[in-house]
Amino acid sequence: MATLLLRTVILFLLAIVSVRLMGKRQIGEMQPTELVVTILLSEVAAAPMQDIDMPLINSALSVLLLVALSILSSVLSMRFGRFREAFDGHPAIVINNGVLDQNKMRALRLTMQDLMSSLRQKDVFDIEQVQYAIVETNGTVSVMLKPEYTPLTSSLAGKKAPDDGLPHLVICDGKIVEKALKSCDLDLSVLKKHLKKIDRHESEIMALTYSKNGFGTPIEKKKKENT
Amino acid sequence: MKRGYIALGIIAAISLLSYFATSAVAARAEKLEQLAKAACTDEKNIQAMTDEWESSRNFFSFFVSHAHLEPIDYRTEGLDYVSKDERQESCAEIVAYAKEIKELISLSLYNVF
Repeated sequence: MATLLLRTVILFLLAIVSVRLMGKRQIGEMQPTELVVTILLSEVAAAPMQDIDMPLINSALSVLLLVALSILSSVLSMRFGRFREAFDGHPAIVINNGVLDQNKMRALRLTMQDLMSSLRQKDVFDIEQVQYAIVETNGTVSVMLKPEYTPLTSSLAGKKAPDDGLPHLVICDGKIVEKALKSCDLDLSVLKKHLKKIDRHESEIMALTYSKNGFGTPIEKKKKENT
Repeated sequence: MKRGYIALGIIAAISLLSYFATSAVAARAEKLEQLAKAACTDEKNIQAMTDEWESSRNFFSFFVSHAHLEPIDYRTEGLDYVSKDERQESCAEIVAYAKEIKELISLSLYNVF
């Protein structure tokens, strides 16, 4: 039993070191510790399902221990910067002030194609538009565009954009969503009055939203077509 | 932070459980070993040994794989009806298997690595 505990801890640490050595490009939107726990959990939990000779308690304890280690490592990461750096690494700037850092790319084993693919996923198709590109600890790339390519926002234009608030779906699939009425503080009678005004019954509406600006355009329900 | 304490609690509980379970398994295996040794020399002790095995079997199966328990199962069957030499041979093997269980459950560098 104690052997099992030590083995789990050793393998957990070994797997984290391995994932850290493999680098950010192997991770794919998970922190190294999360990836390790996901991989190990699936294996540990599946083993006694396949092998009925194996005592269930070994697997159950390993699963619990892995979960505890995962929580503990995230708590320690939150509290201690050094621990976070050791376990999760640190973000790497691959485009610094418009200049591609090829050494950093080599260190990360990140190809130009990988970088371009990540930029395209961020809707950036020309690398010249990028001021900063940062490879995060979970392997994703964060992008900051050069000021001349930054999309125009109301603050840049010196205007105040109207705050429409969050649109709530008050009718969904022909049914009134009571929860949404409550959260947007809308009275049912107001909704009924609006339905009367647009000459529709709720059952005829697929979706209707309500925000600070009032009701949105209703999307009507279509009858099932025979294909 | 609350989850951090839960995690520490889980680790502490598992450590305690493993400590007590290891001691309990080792104690039962030791008892089985002693009874098997006694049965080697005197057939009157066979019943006590088989009784001990039957009462411990399920307990062992919580912590040790069936592959380690089945040979003992096989050796304890029909001990009353075999010759003295065969009985002694079976008992000696049970002693060896009980020792194996103790070694398997104990914390050692050999087991960890």
